Amino acid sequence: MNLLHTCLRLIVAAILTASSGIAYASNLTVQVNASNRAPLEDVVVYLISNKTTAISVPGPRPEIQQINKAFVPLVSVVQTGSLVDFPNKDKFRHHVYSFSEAKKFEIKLYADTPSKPILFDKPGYVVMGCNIHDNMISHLLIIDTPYFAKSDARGRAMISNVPNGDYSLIAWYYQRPDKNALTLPVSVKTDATQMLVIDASPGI
Amino acid sequence: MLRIFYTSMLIACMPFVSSQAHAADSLYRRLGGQPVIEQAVDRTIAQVANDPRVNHSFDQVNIKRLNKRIVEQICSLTGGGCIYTGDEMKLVHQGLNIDERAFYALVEALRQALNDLDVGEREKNELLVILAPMKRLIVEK
Repeated sequence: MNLLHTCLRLIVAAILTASSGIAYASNLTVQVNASNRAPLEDVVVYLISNKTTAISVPGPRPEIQQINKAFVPLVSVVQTGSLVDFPNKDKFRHHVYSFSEAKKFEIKLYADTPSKPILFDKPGYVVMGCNIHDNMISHLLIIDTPYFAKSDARGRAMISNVPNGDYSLIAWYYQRPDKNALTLPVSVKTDATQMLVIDASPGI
Repeated sequence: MLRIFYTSMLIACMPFVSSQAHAADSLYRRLGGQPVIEQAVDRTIAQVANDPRVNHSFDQVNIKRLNKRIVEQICSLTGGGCIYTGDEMKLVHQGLNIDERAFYALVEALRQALNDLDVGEREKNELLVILAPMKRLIVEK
């Protein structure tokens, strides 16, 4: 009896210790709309804070594909230090390049997936094109945080598994790439939805 | 030993000597030089870009760059002294599904453009003979 009691106490103590050591995490859903209230797709939203360090989360390597003379996706977001593949799904060749400050690179005329991915080692904005096909353009935002998402056709973006705490929520829109569309302080405590309305008109 | 050296030097240098001698009368010059070649390429590409037998190959293609590379290549092949900075012909055309019909439509457009620019019959044929071997690098079916 005494032994059982001790065991129970130990288990309870272990649970208490474990739970006090866990930093609770929540999902932050962001609903992005334009000034005219229409849902806005392809808006990057991300969280930064001076308390959390951006630890790289291992996962599948991001891809920017070339399909039917278009980059898919049109807008991407990766964490600084990410490797990105550029698989060409077309039957003919593409020639991808960037003159952007954050990453200048070129993948000369290639078919299939180039053997070497491109390393994006500086935060910033990279716009890519194809030497052969005029209309091909792709936007990539490189940021120092693992807590990011991109809004879907309904304007919805979910930043998952965010440690509870205070952050700046930043929205970035590729039509106005040179500045943030919005910065807002948010307190992440539990799963919640944050509404954002941003000016989506192109230009500065 | 020295004589062999001089002889081999002489043989090695011969192509340069002869091409220098021909430079004044190069096909490039006889075609009318850069302005005529540029015009011919512009007109040819504009023509095929509206030709349903061909235009699918040019869909969304950066025409400015394409024209520059073609002019460069013709200049280089006709003794104009340009360096072709584009990619290999086989690589750039692979997967575009270009058939003989499309190839000959472009040849026809080029012939027409050269006619319109008053390029002589001899020069026209010389240029087409230079370009003809590219067919096997371009046509896939």
